[in-house]
Amino acid sequence: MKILDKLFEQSARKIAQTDSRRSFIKWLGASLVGAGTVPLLPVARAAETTRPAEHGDPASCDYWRYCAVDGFLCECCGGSYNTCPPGTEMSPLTWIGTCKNPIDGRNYVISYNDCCGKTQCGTCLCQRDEGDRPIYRADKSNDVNWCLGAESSVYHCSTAVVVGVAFEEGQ
Amino acid sequence: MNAVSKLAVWPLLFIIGYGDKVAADDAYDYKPERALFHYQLFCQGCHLPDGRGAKEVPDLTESLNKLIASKEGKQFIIQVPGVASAPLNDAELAELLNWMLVAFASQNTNSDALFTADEIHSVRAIPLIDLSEKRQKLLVNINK
Amino acid sequence: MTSLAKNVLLLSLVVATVCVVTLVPGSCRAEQSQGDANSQQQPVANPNLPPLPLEPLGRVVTLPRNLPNTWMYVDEGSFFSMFGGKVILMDVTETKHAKRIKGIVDKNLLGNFLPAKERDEFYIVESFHERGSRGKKTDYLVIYDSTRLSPIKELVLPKTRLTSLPRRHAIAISPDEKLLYVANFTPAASFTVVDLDTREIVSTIETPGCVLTYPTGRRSVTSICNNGGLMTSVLTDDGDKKEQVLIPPFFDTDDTPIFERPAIVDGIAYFPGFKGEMHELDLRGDVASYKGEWSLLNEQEQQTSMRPGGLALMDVDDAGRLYIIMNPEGFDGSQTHGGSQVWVVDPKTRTRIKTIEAPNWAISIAVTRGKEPKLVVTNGELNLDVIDVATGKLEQTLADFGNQTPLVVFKAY
Repeated sequence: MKILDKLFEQSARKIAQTDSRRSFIKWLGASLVGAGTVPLLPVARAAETTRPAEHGDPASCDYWRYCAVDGFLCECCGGSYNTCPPGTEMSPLTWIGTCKNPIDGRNYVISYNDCCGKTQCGTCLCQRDEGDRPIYRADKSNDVNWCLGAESSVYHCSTAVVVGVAFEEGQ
Repeated sequence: MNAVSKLAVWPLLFIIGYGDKVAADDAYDYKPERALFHYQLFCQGCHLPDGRGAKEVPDLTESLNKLIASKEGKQFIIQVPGVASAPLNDAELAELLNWMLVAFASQNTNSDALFTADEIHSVRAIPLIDLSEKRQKLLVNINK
Repeated sequence: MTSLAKNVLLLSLVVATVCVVTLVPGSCRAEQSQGDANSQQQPVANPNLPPLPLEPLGRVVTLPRNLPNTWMYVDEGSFFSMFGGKVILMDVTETKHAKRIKGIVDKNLLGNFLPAKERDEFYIVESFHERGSRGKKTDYLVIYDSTRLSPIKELVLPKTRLTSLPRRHAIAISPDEKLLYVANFTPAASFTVVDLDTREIVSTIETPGCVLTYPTGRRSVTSICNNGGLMTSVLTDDGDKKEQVLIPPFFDTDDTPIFERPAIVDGIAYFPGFKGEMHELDLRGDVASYKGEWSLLNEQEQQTSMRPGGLALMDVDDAGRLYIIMNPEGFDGSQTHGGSQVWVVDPKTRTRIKTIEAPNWAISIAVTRGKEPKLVVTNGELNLDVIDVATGKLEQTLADFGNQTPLVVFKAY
């Protein structure tokens, strides 16, 4: 529960202090806008047989998966939150984050693979650094250009792919 | 380059499990889901879900098997910075390495090559100098 | 003359005058012209003046060898169009827009930059694919003549160089400026040693688990490690590996992380922690040694959300004072976002000298050289606010200089 509590707390605190800075920080893109779309309480689960629905707008920087993203959202670039735009290459090397899905309250392991091989998408810039660390912790560092793992090192946009479910002690 | 298509393999790794106890650490309750989670957090970004790596990241499916054949090789695995400095305690780290041996090195849960927490404890604190030279020597020796 | 005749004569004179006036180029038209914004009044042309001297073609400006204190190199990564990345040399206190830019050099694909202090050189590490974003990639170290802003030599680098958001410690130089150290990240970490006298590559030294290049002693390079400690690579005089020494962990990379962007004052490196700690490292000897930590915050402040934050969040002035961006509403996730204040701290007494408000937010900061430093702030609009340190007053905002993401600013020498 420790990870959940931390994420929760920060969400609420961030919403409280965004307004004074909304007009600035173009570097962060939309990260401080639209905070009101993030629900503070987990919504009741959908029917057990169906995959949990997702909540929120994947084109918004506040979308739950983007908690450790840094870059242009592929959702706005002809791809989606987990697919690359046409003609780009998904770099296999990447950084990893853990974000909480408000629909089911679970923490998911998110792989932020970059799409590479074309000039920068240039829109939907989003930088959120929950759990992010400097490059001495490469596994958690979104400052590095991870297109170093692709044929072309030219960065286009970033995805947020669900690759696992966090293991919670007591399971 | 098909490293990305290999990403599609990862769901299979959920299935790999132990079933029963592993090596000599009876007291420790091994959980493959936990090991997988740790692999995903701390290793997968570079070593990829199937362990094959990309670009300059080594292919664990090739090297792990060779390295565990010797004591020095096993020590080397523990000492590489990504392992030795992983934010895991000794038991968790042993669990993770053993999960990787099953997943990437064709080992089973009764293998003698599995790591113990004690082994991890004594070796991870020893700094590894000249990593590339050591690795090359170990892999070359094994090939002989 | 009859009155009619007088009127006709008068009218003719008026018409004649108007005709003469309109025949004289410019003078009449000037009253109706829209374009002549620069001159207060249109001169009346005097054809009796001698003609202008003729000018030679092909002249190119050369810069002085010793640059004024207020000139700085702006690392313009052009995050939205990285093929257009560059370094812009500017006088940050110049009030005339047209005189601010002193020169520009290209810096492709989030290249790295470092100026020398003694040599009339600076160094750019950059990457090129053969055809824009396609084709084989080659990493280059370009040694520049700082007076001509032109390359002296390009060296092909043997390893994948570190590509990340801009930073001050992706390249380092030995104090005697004989050796240059270029950080690599493949993602395995290493650094390549270049001899600046021969302008050749000497060696590449692996630093497993440890990244970046902090110059240490006479012939050493310190890197920061994934276990929360350090590694110092001690080199021979020529730049080959002699030995590597590990400095034990002094922080937890998950729970008490530190920024990898220190300010270095006379060989003492000050690394801020995410929660306002200040770690001191002595980099004067052959091997780095850890000197301990203190806090930027008093006990009361430590209970608040006040935290350091930003990208290039620290700098130092010539008097040895530290400058650091602080965010009163910091949280895990805000660490690179910046802050609304800049604290000026005396590292010897560990006291805060003053608090400077960053009226337009601060993402990165830099301080000019000299006795009357100016604080140059990359603000929330990605322009540069120039604040007088003594008064705390915003003197001017540098905008419209071809800036897109001017995320790090360097002192120029």
